[in-house]
Amino acid sequence: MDITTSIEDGTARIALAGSLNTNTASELEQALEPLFGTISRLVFDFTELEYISSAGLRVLMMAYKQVGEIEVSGASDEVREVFDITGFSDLFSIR
Amino acid sequence: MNRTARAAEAVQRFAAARPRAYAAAAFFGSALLYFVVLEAFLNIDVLNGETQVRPAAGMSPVLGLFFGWPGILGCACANIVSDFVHETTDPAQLALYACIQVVYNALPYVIWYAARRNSAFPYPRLDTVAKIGAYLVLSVLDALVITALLMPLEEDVMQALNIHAVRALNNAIFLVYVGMPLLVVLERSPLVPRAFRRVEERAPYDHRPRMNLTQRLLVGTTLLFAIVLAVFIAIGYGSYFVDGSIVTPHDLAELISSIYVMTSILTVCLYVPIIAVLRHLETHYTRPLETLTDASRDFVAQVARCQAAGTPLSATRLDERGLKLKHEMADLFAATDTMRADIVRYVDELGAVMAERERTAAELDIAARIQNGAVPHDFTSFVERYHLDVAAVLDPAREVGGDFYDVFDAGEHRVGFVIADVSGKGVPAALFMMRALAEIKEQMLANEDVGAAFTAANQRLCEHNDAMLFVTAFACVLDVSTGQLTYANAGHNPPWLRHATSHQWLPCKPGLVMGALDGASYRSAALELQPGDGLFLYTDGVTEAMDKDEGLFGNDRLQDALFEVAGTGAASAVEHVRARVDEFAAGAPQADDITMLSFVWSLPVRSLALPPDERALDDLFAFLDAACAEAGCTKRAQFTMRLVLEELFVNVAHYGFPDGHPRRSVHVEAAVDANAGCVHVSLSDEGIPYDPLSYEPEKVEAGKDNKIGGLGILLSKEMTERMAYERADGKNVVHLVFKIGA
Repeated sequence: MDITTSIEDGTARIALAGSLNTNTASELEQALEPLFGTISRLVFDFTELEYISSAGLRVLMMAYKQVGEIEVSGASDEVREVFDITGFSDLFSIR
Repeated sequence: MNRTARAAEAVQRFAAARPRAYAAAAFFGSALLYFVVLEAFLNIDVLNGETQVRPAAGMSPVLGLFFGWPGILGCACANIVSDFVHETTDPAQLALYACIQVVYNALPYVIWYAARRNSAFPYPRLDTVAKIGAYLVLSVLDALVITALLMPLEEDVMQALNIHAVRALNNAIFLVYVGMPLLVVLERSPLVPRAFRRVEERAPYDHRPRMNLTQRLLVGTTLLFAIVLAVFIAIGYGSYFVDGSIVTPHDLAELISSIYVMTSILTVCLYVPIIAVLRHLETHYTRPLETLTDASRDFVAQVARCQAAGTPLSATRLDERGLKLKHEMADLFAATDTMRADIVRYVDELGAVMAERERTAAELDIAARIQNGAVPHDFTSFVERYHLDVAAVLDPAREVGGDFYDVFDAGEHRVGFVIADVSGKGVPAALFMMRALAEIKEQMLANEDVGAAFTAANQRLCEHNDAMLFVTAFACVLDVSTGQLTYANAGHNPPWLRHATSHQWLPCKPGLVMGALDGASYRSAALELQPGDGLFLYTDGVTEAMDKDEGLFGNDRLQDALFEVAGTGAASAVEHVRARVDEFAAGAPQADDITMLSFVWSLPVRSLALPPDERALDDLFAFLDAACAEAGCTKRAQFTMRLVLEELFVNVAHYGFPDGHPRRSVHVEAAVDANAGCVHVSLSDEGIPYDPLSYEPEKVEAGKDNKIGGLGILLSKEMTERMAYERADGKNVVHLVFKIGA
């Protein structure tokens, strides 16, 4: 999985490419951890994200609890469905 | 074995084990018997004046002949006692009398065994005229010898001539009328005769259970003659005793002398013809009959022995040496010879027939193996490649039969099944069966359409079918990837179509039997099987299996039997029906070949074993991706399958094996059901029991302290078409169904 991060005015923009699953979730976790406390808003670009499982949701939930505001863009239908089923759609602002 | 024979055996054992005790018993027994008879007659005064009537004189040589020295000496001792009481107390005279008595008692014994020491049965059994003759000669000889020995003891030899003659006649007559019956009685009793030791060792005595004709006639005539003589004496001499003509002892002596003479003459007159008759009977009847009996006793066993040894008995004629065969007896011997020759010939022929039968049986055994080898028995390749469950049984009523089945590859993903029954049974049916088996398979491989294959096979089977045999057959081809079944029937019993919980006849036209009508054409029909469906094919040997009362197993019982194993595999269906048929027949002989073939079609299955470790996730994905590619799944369907399987697998890897629980592989199986447009996936693990469906997960909500656990199960439940859990064989198994086009 590729993670591209850019920070600007307390907003971190993270683009994920590939598969966010049990094996790769820790990579995202490691990428996010240094940001916590320094940012107030997370914007995920999921355009290139092919797959997400509950292990990925766990990291997103952790980030949500730390940051408080998460925006998701470019999510595929499948990823969106996962957010819908789990209720994450209500937590994040999804475009 | 009768009582006498058992007693004889006991006495024989006793005599052999304790010879001295037996000798002592013989000694005292003889002495007592002799003394009692001797004294009884000595005490009749009237008979003991100048002459003496001494029946005991007829007994002691016989007791000696039978018991040997114990009998000889026993009687001699008894005689000494008697002489001491009645005659003299002079020891020298007593000793002399005793010596003479011993000679008298011992003479027949010594001469008898000296003469017969080498014969097969040396003992004094009076069962032949020769032995009777010998006995009579010995009696006369003994009487003369004793008379001669006693002669010098009389003062005036010439004057006492009369008394010597009387003494000789007395002894001879009583040896005939008392001694001879006594000898027969002794021989018939359980008592054992004693002979010279050498003779006894060479030819041990055996007790014969019955008297032969000679013995019976001898006893009968001797009794008859005794009566005749008694009547004769009573009539001829009775008047002298009553009319007072006897005044002095001398008169009586004269009279008795006269009686002795007359009796002797009469005895000779009676015995000479009877001996002649006995001799005739013995020569012409008794001995031939005995020869015949001995030769017949184990003749067949002897023939069989020779036959087995490979040296057929050639001498079938009875040995007629020493026999004078005339009239009926000659006919009987001739007839018997013919019969014996016939028996030998029949036994010979029987041996040849048996050898032929064995050879045929051996050939049939090989034929049976060839026939059995012509049909497949190992279906594992179908299981391995297609997950196609196949089972069959072929059980001919005789060594070989006309039934057959076949299972073979009929193209890519196509499996052909045939079951057939040739008319008739045994070798002819088996020969035609091998032809039909080859033709049908060949045509099914050459023609994609089963109907066309049957049409062609029929054409070929009609050729060169002079024996007019025919075959009923059902064949089908199954496309194992789709469940598409095409089939044709040629007069065979319609198969049963088995579903998971029910079964029905496979709808098919009966069709004409193959091999009967040139140019007949067959059409195929088609049907789409559902996963888990199968066919049960059988021949009429199943439905027409008979019980002891010739009742038929029938379709209803077959249907019931199949119902009892609904939803099970092919092997269990075949075995169960076979068991029900056997149970029904209950030992009644199998009348017809019994053949069954069954298969159950399931979806082609891919399987994968994974260690319970999340690092194996990529392997799982690769496996699922391949299944999706084969099924032609949409992107979403693939995403869903990946997601659900990841969630469940990771759950198992994380929580299924607490410390100490053996970490065994997790198995994933995937099968594509193209007809239903879905993919079946199952996940099984040997971890601790856990039903993911028992968990009620909740969505996350804004403003709540959301727990992150359980989202995987929530996703799994929501995203699968169907999800089921079972705990079986120590395994958690989750069955999942995904829509291909979702």
